[in-house]
Amino acid sequence: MWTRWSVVGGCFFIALILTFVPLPAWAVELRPHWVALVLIYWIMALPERISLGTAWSLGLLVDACRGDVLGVQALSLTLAAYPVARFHLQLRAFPVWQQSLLLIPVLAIAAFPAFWLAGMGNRGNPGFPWPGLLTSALIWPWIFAVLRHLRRRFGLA
Amino acid sequence: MRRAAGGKAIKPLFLKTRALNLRLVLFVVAAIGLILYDSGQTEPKRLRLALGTLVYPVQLAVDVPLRLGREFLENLSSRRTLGAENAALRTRLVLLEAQIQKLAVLQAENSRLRELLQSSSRLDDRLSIAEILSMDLDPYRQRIMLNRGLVHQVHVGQPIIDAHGVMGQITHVGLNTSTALLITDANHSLPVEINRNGLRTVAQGTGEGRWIVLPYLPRNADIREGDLLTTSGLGGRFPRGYPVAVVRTVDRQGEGRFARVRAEVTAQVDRSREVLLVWDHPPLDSPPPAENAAGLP
Repeated sequence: MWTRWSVVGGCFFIALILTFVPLPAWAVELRPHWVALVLIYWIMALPERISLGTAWSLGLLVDACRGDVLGVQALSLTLAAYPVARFHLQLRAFPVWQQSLLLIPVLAIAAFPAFWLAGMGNRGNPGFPWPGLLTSALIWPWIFAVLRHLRRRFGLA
Repeated sequence: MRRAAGGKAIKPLFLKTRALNLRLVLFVVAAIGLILYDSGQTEPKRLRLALGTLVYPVQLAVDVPLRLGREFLENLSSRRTLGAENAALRTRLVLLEAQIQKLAVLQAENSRLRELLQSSSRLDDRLSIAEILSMDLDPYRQRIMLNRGLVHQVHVGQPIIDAHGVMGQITHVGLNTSTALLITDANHSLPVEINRNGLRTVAQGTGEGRWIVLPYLPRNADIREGDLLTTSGLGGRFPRGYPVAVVRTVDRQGEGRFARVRAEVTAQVDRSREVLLVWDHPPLDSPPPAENAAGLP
């Protein structure tokens, strides 16, 4: 119980830090959606324990870190979590690189609320964050491997 | 737990899907409700303060290693460069103090003249230094996070400046931190005036680098390259007279009835480490004008 809490919580904590670490200007667009990726892994691994509620609360924490309007990331992560929770059995059956491809539409849905809010009343026209989605998909196999190692190490099933 | 669920037949799975759908609807509605509830607020609410305290470790974990690294590098810089820097700073200090002496005289003269005109003016805003936390907040917006919050009496709408000019204003306040929108953000508008002739207009951010634009100036407006824009104080948020930007290009040829004017902000919006929070003293109607009038000969 406590191991699970600390391992999963620690992963989320690190994901949050990576989300806010300053990057050089050219790399900002390329930042993977760390929180969503880690969340998706844990939903796939422990769907009985970690699901929409966790996604929502985690999103709220991201919003609080941003210091912006509360609820945007809560909405995003809930939307991303739903298809993963719904089809976790099918997702698990795919090879990792196919999971990567499937994550692109899932993360695109997750990126939508923030994109939409940024576009509302904005005179500049922000581009849809495709670069971030692509790097997220590219980095997924590594995240998957690392988190699976952690999960096995601590015997979380 | 998982084994038990996996071992069951199709039917419970179907029920589980329905429960999942229900939860999706619940959480989406809750999130949208929260967005609506939170987006209109100006007062810091208890929920935000509680959450802000909860995520404070994350903000520290991002900021502290970078800060320590920077301090370490600064410590490494040799004694000679420190000496040179110290000398340069001392010269600068002397220069600035000399200018401030003049400023005191000017300020006194200004307030005497204003008394004669029976209009109140305040140049003595209270300032306090805040540091920018190294956090990348949002790729879409030009925002920064500061290490000052409610406990330091920061409030929403408060202007922030740096040594060179206006930087932005506070949009959200937490317990120990606050976030500010920079004047270069595409959603920020700022009432300004041209220092040379007092022409008033509105400056809008562009969302790119250090540029702002003046979209509402007619083609024949009296504005030139090199003009300094200062805050006009009309919006009621920014005190009057802080430098904002220097006009770089004026294009009167384009289509439409307005000139296209681009200006570069004077504040080091992308380089400053420290900013100043400005407490504008009581609004213009509160100082008693009767006393001033009585004091006149």
